[in-house]
Amino acid sequence: MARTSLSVARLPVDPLGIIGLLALVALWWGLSQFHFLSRLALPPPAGVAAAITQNFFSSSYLANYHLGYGGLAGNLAYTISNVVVALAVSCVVGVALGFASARVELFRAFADPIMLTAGTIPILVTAPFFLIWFGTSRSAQIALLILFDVTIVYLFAQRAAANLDPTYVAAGRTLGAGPMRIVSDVYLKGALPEVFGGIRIALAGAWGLEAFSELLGAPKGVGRVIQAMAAEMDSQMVFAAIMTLAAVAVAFDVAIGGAFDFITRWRRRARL
Amino acid sequence: MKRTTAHRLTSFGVLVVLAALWQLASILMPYESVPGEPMIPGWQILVTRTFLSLADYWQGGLGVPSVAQGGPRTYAGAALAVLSNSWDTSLRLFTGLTLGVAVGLVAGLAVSWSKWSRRIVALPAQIIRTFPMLALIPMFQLWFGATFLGMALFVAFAVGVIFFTGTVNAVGNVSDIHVDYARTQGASRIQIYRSVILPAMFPELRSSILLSLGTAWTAVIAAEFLGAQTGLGQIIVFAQYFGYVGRMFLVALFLLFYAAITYALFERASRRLTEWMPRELATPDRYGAP
Repeated sequence: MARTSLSVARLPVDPLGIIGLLALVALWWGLSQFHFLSRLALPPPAGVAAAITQNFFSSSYLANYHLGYGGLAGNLAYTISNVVVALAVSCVVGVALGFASARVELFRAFADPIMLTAGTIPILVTAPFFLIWFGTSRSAQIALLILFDVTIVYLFAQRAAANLDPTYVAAGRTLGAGPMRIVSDVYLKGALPEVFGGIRIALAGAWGLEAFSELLGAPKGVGRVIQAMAAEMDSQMVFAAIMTLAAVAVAFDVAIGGAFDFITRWRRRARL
Repeated sequence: MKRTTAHRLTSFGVLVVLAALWQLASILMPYESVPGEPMIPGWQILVTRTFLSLADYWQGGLGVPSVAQGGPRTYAGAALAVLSNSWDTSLRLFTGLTLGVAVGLVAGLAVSWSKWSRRIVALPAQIIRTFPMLALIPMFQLWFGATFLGMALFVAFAVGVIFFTGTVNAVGNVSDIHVDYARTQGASRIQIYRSVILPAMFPELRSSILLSLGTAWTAVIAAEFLGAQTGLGQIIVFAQYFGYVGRMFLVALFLLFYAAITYALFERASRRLTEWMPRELATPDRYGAP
């Protein structure tokens, strides 16, 4: 029994989890197949899969709604690029401000009220402001995402740097490390695991936020596809767009989680 | 002076400076979004003309006629508009929040009853949690229309997903020692749940509750942005159509105030429930409320 548990634990995915996932798809299929819900309310999985494959790389259907000829992939590329650009900017700004606030009390006293206010306000409230200031251009969506991501990364970076055992800094100094080495080799590396957790949370929230800000006004993107198709009551395409975006979100989460695990492979992991 | 007092005073000072910077920006950048509507309205405009203009959103009653019925813009009308729309938003928010918490908690506890069911739902729950929740709002509108039920259910769904996964994780992380100790005392499974698991999981569940609060506010505003006839989110989106930045800013301030109050009330309530814990462990883990 112990051997079986060990071999299951070594698998990248729990087989029971796969069964759970299949059961979920089966439930979806059953609800639509046996007309517990109308096709308009819940299109069948096969129909959604067909809509994705037919409209993925090119789509004259989506082009009719001024969504470009690139199909779902072209709109996904727009959404992904916005999320990635915003996250990259936020990581640099959020980590720098978070570390600075953790070490410099005066700076923290100034930065905390601003960041906590930004964290307390329901972020969507700011979306219409960006629409008025920047129009429906890409910058309106990126600005909204940066505001959201920076707040999260800042809080995580601050907490990570504050939680870092001072022994590491003392050891670094004893070994002759200068201030820059202390920041790069002690603070940055020591705080990375916790900061990475924050980045994953920021990324997870960013997909929906980007899609919604596109819904309010954008030249293209998955959110625009959802908006146009919902107005046409084409629930199959709405589901197709949501599913592709969800697949991208899950793929990014898995990829980034794997990359973070690789980068912090020196970490001692708990043996449970 | 105590360190915490000095910290609070500095924080307050920073907020005052921010308000002053807004005022300065309104003087230095006197642009207009539409004729007669400043792009950055100063405080003297916000608390007078802009606040008064919120009377447009009062539907009439209580002796104060609505502007649409030909009544004048009055401070009483503006105050009633703010109160009635805040009430509508809060009702959607707290109905959805209560429903989401109840369903998420009960489903999470039910699934946690056995290790097998916990393993079966772990992967689907992880994937569903990664779903772009805000992108689902058009589906809810398709299913339920822009109704109270649709908006409340959207909030409940967003909160329920977080609460469900949070509960499953929290139960899974309750130390075996506590459970084994109760078992050796002869406690039944229900008694273990009531006396050990529920109190022990609460500290970890606090993060989920804080995350749920932030998500609920975002979800209710998202729902109101797309088709609601009342509510603070609806005022913002209508004001945006006409370029009324002042109204948007004022309503955003109300929302900030309400969100801050809900966080503060929860902090106070949860502090009592975790009095038995060492203070450091009880410190809330607040992050990620979009």
